[in-house]
Amino acid sequence: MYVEETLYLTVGELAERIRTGAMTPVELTESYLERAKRLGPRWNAYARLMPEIALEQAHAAQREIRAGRYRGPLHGIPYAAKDLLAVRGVPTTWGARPYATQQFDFDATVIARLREAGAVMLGKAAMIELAGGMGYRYASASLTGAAKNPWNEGCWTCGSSSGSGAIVAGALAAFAIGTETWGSIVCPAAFCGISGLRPTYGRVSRHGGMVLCASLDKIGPLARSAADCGTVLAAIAGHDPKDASSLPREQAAFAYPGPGAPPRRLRVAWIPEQMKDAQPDVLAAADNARRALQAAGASVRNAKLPEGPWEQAASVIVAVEGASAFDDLISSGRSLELADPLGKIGGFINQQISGVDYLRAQRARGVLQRKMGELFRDYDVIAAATENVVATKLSANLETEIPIADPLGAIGNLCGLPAISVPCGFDSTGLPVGLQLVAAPLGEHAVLAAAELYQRHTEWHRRRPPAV
Amino acid sequence: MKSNRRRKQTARTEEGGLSRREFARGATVAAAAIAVIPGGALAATALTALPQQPAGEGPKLSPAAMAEVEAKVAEILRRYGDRLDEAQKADIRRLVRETQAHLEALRAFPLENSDEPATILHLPGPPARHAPAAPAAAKPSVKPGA
Repeated sequence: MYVEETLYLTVGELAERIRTGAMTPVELTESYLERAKRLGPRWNAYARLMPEIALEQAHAAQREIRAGRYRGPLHGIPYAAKDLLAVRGVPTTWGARPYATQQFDFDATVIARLREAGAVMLGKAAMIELAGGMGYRYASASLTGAAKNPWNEGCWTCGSSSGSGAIVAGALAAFAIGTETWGSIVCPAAFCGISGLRPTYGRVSRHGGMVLCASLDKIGPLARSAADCGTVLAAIAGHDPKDASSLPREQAAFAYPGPGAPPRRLRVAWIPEQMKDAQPDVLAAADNARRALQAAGASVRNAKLPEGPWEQAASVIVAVEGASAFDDLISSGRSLELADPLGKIGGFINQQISGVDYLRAQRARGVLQRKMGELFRDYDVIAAATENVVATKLSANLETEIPIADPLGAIGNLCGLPAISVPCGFDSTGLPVGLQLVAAPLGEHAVLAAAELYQRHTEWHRRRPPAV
Repeated sequence: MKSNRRRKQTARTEEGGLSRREFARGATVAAAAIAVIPGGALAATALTALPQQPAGEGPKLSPAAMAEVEAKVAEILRRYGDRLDEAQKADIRRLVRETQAHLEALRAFPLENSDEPATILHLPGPPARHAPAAPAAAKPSVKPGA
């Protein structure tokens, strides 16, 4: 069994050891499984461990590598996938009681692509019920209970990729797959002190994933470094005819040659206005991140987001598309079986939003996308704290105790923009703070270049939660 | 033709109606009042996860907007009322009212006839590889969402 320190290595470091034979996929998988069995229930991190499948895949990877058929940097690397991605023959619960026994007879495209890359699937990561699609008031809005943050077990991991955050932060897998409609990759990354990449809308196929909001849903990686996120994205990105929103082949494709220096000085738009309500420690960490970027050679200038009702528009779109996607659940009254008091009734309310209001939101979205396009003429990335708060208490009423909008979440998702959250410090109680970098559509290389630049000059992503 | 029509409509909006800039100033208050659960601002969350109002209070709405609230609540109770307890009914009334305030803010945003829904993201040509600042990669579409 490998020791805890080894299990906290990055995908890049593990891959090099596996490629050279210094480490084996089977022993690595067994080590992660042992740790996941021991700590997964304590943090409510996994919805389901799949040791038989994992070991079968690990043995297959080991045989291939020993035979000289090394597939690439994910070959033999153990990971977890959010429990809204279909895996053939295994329950896919969407984190919700009404779907507790649901099974599919096919694999989601992302699962299939990771299998082709040789990655080893350890299990399904816990999540907020229906990815928060009906609303939620408490961290406990999940079939598997509130996910606990490895940095402080009295605090939440954020959602809706709650288990994915705990799994990566606690070294229960080398990386995890999450999804984001609005904030569900970058917020768990920020709360859990890890890196999380939200791809451009349409770059990663959602086929086989639960649909919450067809015009906003994205799938992306959570990992221990920006470079790891790039490596995983390269494996899962690409056109998929099974997903109607999938970008054309030449746009969806993503190649990642590994971390490297930006070809020219990075231009960063800093958005202080979106952080005016931030907790003081969050603001201090963000200010330090700004200085670190400047010291690393980036040009950082204050800028403003375009004005407009992004949050209202995004909210209406998600609410109506979610009400449509789960119309059967809501109309049958079975949404009352959800765990969260807000989730039980949220769908009833969202059904009442008119088609005219929905299309008004979509039309406003077009206007806002054009305005954001103008901002990216002058900047490569825009930056702010990922969240204006650190991880909340497990018992917090999220309606009343976090009345602060996420700085770049609404506009970033409304415009389908790629983003990454990377750790940039801690508050006075030892909870992580995240820095978010957002680029123009298809600008994944820009956000990765900016994040890699930052991580080359800082060590926050190397920090680990207290040993357990 | 299309671009000419757009310019005329824009001019008319700026001269005779509420300009986008004026709207933005007015909407700031509404936008700032939105509470978003970090990362979980999904679907109903964003619309329904709003700061709780003291009993009997809520966002100020016009009589027409309040009538809309009452109609929506009545419809919810007609469909689901027999399965809801009194606390849930009260929650629904509060949340519908708060949702209505956000719909009103959205409705105040001026749109032109030619502003099309951006349901699918359309992008420019293929990006340059590993080029964060290269013009081809960094420069977005003029109209990325249309």
